[in-house]
Amino acid sequence: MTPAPPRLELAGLSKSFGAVRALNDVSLTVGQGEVHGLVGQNGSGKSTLVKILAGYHPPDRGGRILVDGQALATPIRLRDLRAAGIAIVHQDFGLVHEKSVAENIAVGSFTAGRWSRRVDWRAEEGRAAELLERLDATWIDPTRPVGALGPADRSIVAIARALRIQRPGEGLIVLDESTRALPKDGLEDFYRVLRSVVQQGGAALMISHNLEEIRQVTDRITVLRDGAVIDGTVDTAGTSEQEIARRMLGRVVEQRVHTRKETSRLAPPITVSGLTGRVVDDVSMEVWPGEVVGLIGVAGAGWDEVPYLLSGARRPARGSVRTGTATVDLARARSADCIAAGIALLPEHRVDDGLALTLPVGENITLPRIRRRSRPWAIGREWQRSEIASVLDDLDVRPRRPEMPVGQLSGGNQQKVMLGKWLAGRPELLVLHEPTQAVDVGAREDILRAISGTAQRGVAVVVASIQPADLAAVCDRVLIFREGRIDGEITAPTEDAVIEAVYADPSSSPRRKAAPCPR
Amino acid sequence: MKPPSDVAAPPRRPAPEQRAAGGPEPQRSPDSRLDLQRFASRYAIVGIWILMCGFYTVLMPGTFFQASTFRSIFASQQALVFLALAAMMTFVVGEFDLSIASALGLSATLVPVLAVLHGWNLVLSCVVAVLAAALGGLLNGFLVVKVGVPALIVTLGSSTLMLGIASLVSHQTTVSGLSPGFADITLYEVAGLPISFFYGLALALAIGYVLTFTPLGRHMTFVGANREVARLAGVAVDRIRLGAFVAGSTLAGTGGVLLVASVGGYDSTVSPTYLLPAFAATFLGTAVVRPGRFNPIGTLVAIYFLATGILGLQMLGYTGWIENAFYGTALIIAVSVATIVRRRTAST
Repeated sequence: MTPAPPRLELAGLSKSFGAVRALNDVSLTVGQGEVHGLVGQNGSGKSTLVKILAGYHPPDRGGRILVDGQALATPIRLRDLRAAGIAIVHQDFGLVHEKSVAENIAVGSFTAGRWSRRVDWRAEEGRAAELLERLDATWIDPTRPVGALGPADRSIVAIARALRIQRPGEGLIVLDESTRALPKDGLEDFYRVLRSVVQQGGAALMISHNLEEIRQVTDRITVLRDGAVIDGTVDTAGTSEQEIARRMLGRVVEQRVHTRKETSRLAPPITVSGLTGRVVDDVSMEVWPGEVVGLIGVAGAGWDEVPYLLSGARRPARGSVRTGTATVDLARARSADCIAAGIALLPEHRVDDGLALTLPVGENITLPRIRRRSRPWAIGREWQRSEIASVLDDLDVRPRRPEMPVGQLSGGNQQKVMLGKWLAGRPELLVLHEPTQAVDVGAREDILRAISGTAQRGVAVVVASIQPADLAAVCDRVLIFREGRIDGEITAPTEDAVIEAVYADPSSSPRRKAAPCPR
Repeated sequence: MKPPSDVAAPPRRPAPEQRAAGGPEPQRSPDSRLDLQRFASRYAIVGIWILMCGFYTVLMPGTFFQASTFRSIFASQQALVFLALAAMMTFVVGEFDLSIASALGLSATLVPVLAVLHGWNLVLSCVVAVLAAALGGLLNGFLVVKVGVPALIVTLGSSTLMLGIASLVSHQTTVSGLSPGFADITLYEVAGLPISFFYGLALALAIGYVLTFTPLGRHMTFVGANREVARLAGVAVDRIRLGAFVAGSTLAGTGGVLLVASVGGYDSTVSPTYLLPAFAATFLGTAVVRPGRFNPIGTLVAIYFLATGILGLQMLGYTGWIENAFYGTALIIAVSVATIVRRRTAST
């Protein structure tokens, strides 16, 4: 007897968008009873892969998708997907909060009376209860609205719905960043439920950028980088988090862009005190003029919240920042107050928060200073022209056309425009979140140099980034976040030192000890 | 929650022609061809306008191409000009207001009701009428901006409410009997056209100036293009949105005063028929002068373009149904054109 074919097999899957190859010859298998982790950074091709599985994108010719040895026709149709027992649980779970648990589980496949076409609610509730029982989650009442449940219970409902189309011992659940919205104390239940599904003979493909979680829950791991599988699939048990991180990040030619100019510390530092947000818990720090400070940690450690709390984009529960110009009570501040105090933010989501893509490059650059530098009845051309020209020259924006809508520039050049927009205001404190995300190598270097140059002109810079190589290239110090607090500091960081520190196995992490995986 | 941004977005790389433009040898010819293209797309509607006039002239030799035809086109659209510019105020900041036509109607009803039925001073009546419209805008703005009710619901509701109030105060009749001298504020002839034509022109120029050359206008444009970007740049986003609702309704109210002055009386039930032409002109205006942006001069051009189309059809003998059919079609075409233009100006 030949061994059973894997539950899911992807063979030579590629996907191109025009000249850009988002997925390149990806092959992996998910066996029965396996939790398979798929990790990669933003832009590595994870989402494209899920979208192919969901039938949203057709793959390029030549690739094959097999379920239990049977090839699926591409583009994948929802009907075939259900018949094959593949269910996808998305990041936001796709639940309707006003409706009951039973309704949410049943949606899309209601059992209706043969002639009346009325939904048989009793049967639906029974079915929901049965599924929840299979998950050992009998405390969830099928008649309650989903909105009344906690986030952890909601995630279980989402899994129950996924199971609905599967017979016990069959099927595959694809978890697309499903734990992102879960609070820490909900994760354990989620993992336990996932385990029990797999023990009953199912399988799961877990897509995540949270290495800690992937290490805890999965049996095997595949790493995607730039659309390709890096060094095949590995067993989780024999692989450290650092190793996965290295595969994920790749080797960016290590190059230190920034050297600190030893300022005599004449000017006082920017002081952040008692910053308390959703995750960040009573964080205080000092950043000296001319210094670049990096913030990093694992996903959910709070470091990526800091830029927004510091700049008035999001209000913290408590916290204040003192610059040379002013002291701002961040719990009450708006963006305008922080800008007036000399704080500038470069947000991660350039398209949503950073630039108005339909408007010209020049207008985007001068926006923050329009009111301050103009008279109420006339903006004035001269200051705009010189400001725009100096930004375009300093950062080498191409093409050099201020009247062009920003959306027509490449990602790297958009990033430069966004940087220039804030640098032109001569901030005291520049806060950046993932400044090199989704830009090409040349633009990355330009951006890192610009950050360094900014610091050398006496600006205090904070960079929050998941990229250890970036932090190593520009930072004088890197602060490691854990559980919302600063849990370590590296001066003169190297990439390796940062990776070691972030993915170290600290005895201080209660979460890691609290969630052992039953095997 | 933001969607994850690793959706393998292809347009992150510069398109070939942009790379060429930024390359070491910028060539002259593609740029000038681009300029020509831009000019053509900017003023295409003017070309279509000329074609349309030529078409009507051929169909109706001797009757269409006359000074009187064009005078009636340029002399008759004042209420629409004010209303379309009122609609634009909210469109510019990314909102919309379906109640402006009712605000215009309420104001046009209040003037004769207060002045004739209640014997108020004429100027005071006009001021109160405009204030009533402005108050409607304030209510809309408050509910949409501060409370967060969808603009569709709020402005549809307030539109109907103002319509109801107008028929209440007018006892569902057309109140007329305004003093004949009052009409002079709109009908007084300057250079062969009623002075209200120049009011509209001046208003369009003034709004154009504010939007293009003042900090306020720049802020409004950014609030409309990307509210979050504006907020993070320190713009008082909510104040600007609220202000746009009030300004729009005030303009509509002013248009109502001019309308009733020129006609002498007003039947409040016709108000809703003004809404669609105003919207059609505003959207069509985004295809002119500054493609992809709401702009008052483009709106003005669009209004007279549409008026020419209607008048020609009416002279050909189509009446009654043609106005609805024409404006309805025009709105759909205008928005489709605007959508395409916008997609081409900002390809992301």
